[in-house]
Amino acid sequence: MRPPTTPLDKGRGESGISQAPSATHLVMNSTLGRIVGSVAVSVAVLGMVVSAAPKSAIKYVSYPVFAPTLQILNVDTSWGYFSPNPTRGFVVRYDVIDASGGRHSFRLTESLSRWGDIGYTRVTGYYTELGESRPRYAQGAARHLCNRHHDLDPRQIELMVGTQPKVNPVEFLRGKDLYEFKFERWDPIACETSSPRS
Amino acid sequence: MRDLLTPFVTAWMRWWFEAPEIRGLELVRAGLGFAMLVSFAAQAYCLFDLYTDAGWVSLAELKAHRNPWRWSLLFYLTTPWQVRLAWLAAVVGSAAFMVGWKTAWVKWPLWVLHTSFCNRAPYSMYGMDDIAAVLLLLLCLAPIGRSRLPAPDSAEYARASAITRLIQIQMAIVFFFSGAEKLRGSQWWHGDAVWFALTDIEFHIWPLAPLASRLWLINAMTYGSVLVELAYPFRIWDDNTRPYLLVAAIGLHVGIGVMMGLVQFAIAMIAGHLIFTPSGWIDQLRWLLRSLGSTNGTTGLDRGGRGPRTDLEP
Repeated sequence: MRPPTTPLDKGRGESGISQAPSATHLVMNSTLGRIVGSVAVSVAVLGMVVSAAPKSAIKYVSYPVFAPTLQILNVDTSWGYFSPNPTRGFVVRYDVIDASGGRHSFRLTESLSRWGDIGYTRVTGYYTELGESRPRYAQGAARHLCNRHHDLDPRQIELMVGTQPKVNPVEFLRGKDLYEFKFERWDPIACETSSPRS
Repeated sequence: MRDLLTPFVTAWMRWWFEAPEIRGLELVRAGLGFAMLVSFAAQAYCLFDLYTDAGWVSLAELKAHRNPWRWSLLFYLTTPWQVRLAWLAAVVGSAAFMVGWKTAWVKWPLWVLHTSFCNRAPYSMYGMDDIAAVLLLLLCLAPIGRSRLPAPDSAEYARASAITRLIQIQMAIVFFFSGAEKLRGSQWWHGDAVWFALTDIEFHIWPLAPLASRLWLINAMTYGSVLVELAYPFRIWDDNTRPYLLVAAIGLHVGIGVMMGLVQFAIAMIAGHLIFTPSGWIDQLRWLLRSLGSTNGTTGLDRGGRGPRTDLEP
């Protein structure tokens, strides 16, 4: 039996693979290297916890310290999927109002094919964000739709956001429709130009 | 004092830098690469709608609301052909990352591209992108994609071990906070949450009448999900319970993928869970790959030298 090893043993090279110790090898296998490594992993774990932690006095103090790094690295996430409760469904519809005052109705969420559109979740994610974040994205959405429907000579876009009702299993079995959306009609947004989409 | 600290320090160093199994990193790499390949490929038809000025959100509109710490190459690559080129690089990079081709070179540009796409269109990001971001960043820091794993005494092994532990902790954190947050919700508490998730128009893909008439099944699925998410962070570390928790967690994500259509998210999460794959399973997988004749000692699952260091070896 060989004597017990310790984590601080240096470059024994028994495997025959790394006989000539590199600079990295010497650093990582030295006491100092492992202390630095220990600090690094501790900070990383703290960052993971602070990012995910609920609002509290501790988070209030620690989050601002970690937030810039977490956001630069794109790892600032709370991980609360479908919680505390699953959200309600959203659908977005819109009317294109043309130069003669005529209305042309379109549907966004409902026009997608669940399995045919393989980027489905990403696109519906935007539609949901559009519905929830008014007026942040409404202007841009209207501009985009004006360009998309250039052939209709659009003058205004009227967006409607529908919220899905909560239907429990008993109500569902009694025939209540899952898709009886309650719509909110937003103020029409004028098309700035009617230039064709680039 | 020194006598008191030495066992703790030794145990700490061993746990972080001498993990007995680091081959799970390669499984995570391959799985995550596949998830990202599917995810990027799926964006082909909505690329210009999401990432160009002619799309839903122009760069000016995004910048008016964006977080100043969020950066993106796509703030500078704005024309359709530039976005298409970046997307193509991401697709090729994901494929290379998946198969382990030139991983040391590919992983960093892939991380830059993934972050860039996320930050250009934060309104269309979802769980798949969150888990991919953390796993990809950690894998960038690990010595992966090599034909043989680092020798057990090497600095590279210590680095791979530390990253293995960080990914394991990250997966435990994901499940802990996801499960704990659910306890605040009345629908999870009363056992109905899975029903309401499945009836959301975004996730409603199967006929629901068979489920509606079996309330006990809805309750079982709801409580089972919470139970797995809360048990995982505590019991996955124990060798005796790890296989059960691993199967349960993978089963949960297969269920999410099949029942709700969140396939890419499910693949990415399963890839993350593979970091806990027991050594025996990896040995069997390696044997299977070799027996299929698809590899010649370059699976990335071959041990470097004599395998992980133990004190019991002669």
